[in-house]
Amino acid sequence: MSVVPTTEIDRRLNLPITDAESLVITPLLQRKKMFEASSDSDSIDLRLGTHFLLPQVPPVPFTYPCKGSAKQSHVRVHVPLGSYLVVPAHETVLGSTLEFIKMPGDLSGEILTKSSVARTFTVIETAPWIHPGYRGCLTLEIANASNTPLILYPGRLIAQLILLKLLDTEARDKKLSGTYLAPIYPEAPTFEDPVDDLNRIGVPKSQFRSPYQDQRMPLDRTRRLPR
Amino acid sequence: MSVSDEIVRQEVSGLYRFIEPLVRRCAELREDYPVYDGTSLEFFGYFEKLGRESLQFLEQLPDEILKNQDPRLSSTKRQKLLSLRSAWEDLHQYLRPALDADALHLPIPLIAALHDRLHETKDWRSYRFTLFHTDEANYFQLPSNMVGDVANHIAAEVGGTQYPAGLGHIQIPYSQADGLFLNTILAHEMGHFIYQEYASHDVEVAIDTALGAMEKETGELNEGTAALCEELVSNWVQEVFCDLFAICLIGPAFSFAFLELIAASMLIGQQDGEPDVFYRFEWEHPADVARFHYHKLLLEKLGWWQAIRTSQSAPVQVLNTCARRSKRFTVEINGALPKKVTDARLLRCFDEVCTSLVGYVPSILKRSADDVVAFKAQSPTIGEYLRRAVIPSSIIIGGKRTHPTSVVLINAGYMFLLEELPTLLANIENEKSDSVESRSRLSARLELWLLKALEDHRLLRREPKS
Repeated sequence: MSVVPTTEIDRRLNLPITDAESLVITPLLQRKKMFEASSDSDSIDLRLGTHFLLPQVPPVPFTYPCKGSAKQSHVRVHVPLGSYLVVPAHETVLGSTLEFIKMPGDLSGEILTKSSVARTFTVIETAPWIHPGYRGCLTLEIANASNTPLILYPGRLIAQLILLKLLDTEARDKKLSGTYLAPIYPEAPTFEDPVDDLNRIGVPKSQFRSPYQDQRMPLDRTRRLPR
Repeated sequence: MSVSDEIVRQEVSGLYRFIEPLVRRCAELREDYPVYDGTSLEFFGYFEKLGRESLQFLEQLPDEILKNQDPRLSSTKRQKLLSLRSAWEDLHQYLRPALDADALHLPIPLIAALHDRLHETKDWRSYRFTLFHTDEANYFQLPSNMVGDVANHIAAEVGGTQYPAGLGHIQIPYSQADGLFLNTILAHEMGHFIYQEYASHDVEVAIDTALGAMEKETGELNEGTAALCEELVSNWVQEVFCDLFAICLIGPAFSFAFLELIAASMLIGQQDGEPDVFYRFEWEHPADVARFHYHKLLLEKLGWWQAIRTSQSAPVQVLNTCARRSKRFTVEINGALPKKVTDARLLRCFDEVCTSLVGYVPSILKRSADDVVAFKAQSPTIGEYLRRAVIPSSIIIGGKRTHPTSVVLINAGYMFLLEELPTLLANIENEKSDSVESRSRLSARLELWLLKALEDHRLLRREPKS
C-alpha cells in the first residue's frame, strides 16, 4: 500500500463517475485552498456534519448490542451551521462528516482526528478504516476525553482523510452493500442478536445466557456480569 | 343588574389563565433543541409578543370596566373578553402543530430551495412560510383570514403589534415531513399565497370576462346564480393557477407528486364503466384530468415536456392521456345550477380562463428556461451518480465540475425514482427488485440523498468565490 498524494486525489475527483477510478468528496468547500502547494500533500481535510446521535441512558444498567438496540440507544439532534453542540467532559456522541465520500475499488482510506482538534483531547474515530467501494458520510464516534465540556461547531474542520492505494488491485465497480447504504447522517449500529451470532459458530442456544435473565436477580449481581 | 368586582376580575383572570400557558410555551423554547427554521421562530416570536401584549391589556381591563360610570360602555368593554377569547381560541390550534414541525420533522432543504426559487422573483422577496403539521393526509395553505387576520383582530383590541407582513402558513401531513418528492406539493400551497397576495385581481378580471360572455349567451342571470357561477369558476381556477405556479417554480416534479398523491396512475388502463372520480368537478376542486390537461400545456410551453416525453413512467403516460380535452367531465354540486347554465357552458368559462393562465403564470415569475436546458444536459449524469448511490451535488460532465441547481436535482431525482429504481436495487447485495418493502425503503434513501444534495448545493452556492 502507498499513500495517495493530493495531486492524484485531485485527478480522481475530476474523473467522470462512470470511471471506476473516480473518487467523490462532496461538498468540497474551499476547494482551491485544499489543493494549493502550501497545503498538506497527503491528506484532505473533512468537516463536521450537522446531525448527531446522542447516547441515551439505557433503561437497564448496560448496553446490550442486539437487534432492538438501534431503536433505543440514541436521540437524533440537528445542529444547523452557525450553532454548536456541547459534549460534556468524558462523554461521547455519534456525528458524521459534512462530506459524502465515494471510494473507488482500488483505494482504502483512514480517517484521523485533525491534529489541532486532537490536542483538545477530542477523539473522533475508533473505527477509522474506510474500505474500497465505501460510500456515504463517514460516521464519527466523537469522545470528549478532556475534563471540560467541549463545543463543536458543525461545518468546521475536524478530520483528515488519508487514502491508500491497494497493491496490484484494479479499480472495479462492485455491488453495493445493503448495510448502512450510503448514509448521510450518523446511523445507530445494527446488530444481530448475540444468541444467533454465537449459534452460527456452534454455541448451543440453550447455553446462551441473556443479561435480561440476570436482571431478575438483585441489582448488585449486575456487577458480576461478564464484561 | 350590575356586575360585581369579583365577577369581572374572575372573568378576566380566566382569559389570562388561558393565554398565559401559550405565551410560556413560546418563551420556554430552548435555544439548542429542538431546532426550528427561521420562519417558525418568527411565528413563535410574534405569538409570544402578542400574548404578552394581551396579558398586559387584561391586567388593566377590570379597572377600566369597573370605573366606567356608563353601564353600556362598561358592558361593551366586558364584551371584548368574549371576542378576545374566541380569537385566542382560534390561534391556539396553530401553536402545537407549529411546535411539532421542528427541523428534524420537516424537509428543510426542500423548503429552503423553494424559498430561494420564490425569491428569484423580485416582488416576492419578502414572502416566507411557516410550516405546521396536520393530522390530515393532505397539504393546505391557511389563508390570511385564518391566522393573520385573527392576530390583527387581537392586536387591534389590545393595542398590540400587527401580524408580520408576507408571512404565510402551510400545513404538511406529519407523517410525510421528512420526505422529498411528495412534499414538492408545498409549491402548490405557496401558489395559493401568491394568488391571494399578488395575482387574484388579474385572474378575477379574466373570470369576469369569461362569465360576462357566458351571460350574453344565456341571458341575464339572477344575483344568486351569478354569484354561484363566479364562486365555482374562481375555486376551480385558483387550483389550476396554483398547479401552474408550482410547475413554473419546480418543474414537472410537482405534476408527478400530485399524480402520486391522488393515485392518478389508475387512469392508465381504465376500463369503460369504471368510476369517473378523476373527471368530477366539485365545489372546491376541478376535475383532476382537467388539471393534468393544463399541466401538460404548460410543460410544453416551458420546454419540460420535450425533455420528459419519451419516458415510459406512469406520470408521463397519464399526462399524455390528458392531452386532449375530455368529454367525460361532470359537475357534481347537487343540482345547484339552474338549467340555463349548462355544465358544458360553465366548463367553457373555466377552460377559457385556464388557457389564459398558461400564458399568464410564467409571465409573473422568473422563467426556468435555464433549468430545462440544464436538466437535459445533466440528468443522465445525475442518474449515473444515483445508480451508484452517490450524492450528485457536484458532478463531472465532459471533464468539468458542475453543481446542479435544486430544480434540476429534484426533477432528475424524480425521473430516476420513476424509471431506474430497479437498476439501483439490482446493484445492491441481497435486495429483491420485486419486493415492495425494498422499493419503499430505497425510495426513502434516495430522497435522503437528494435532500443532502440540495443542502450541499446551497452551501456550494453561497461559498465566497475568492
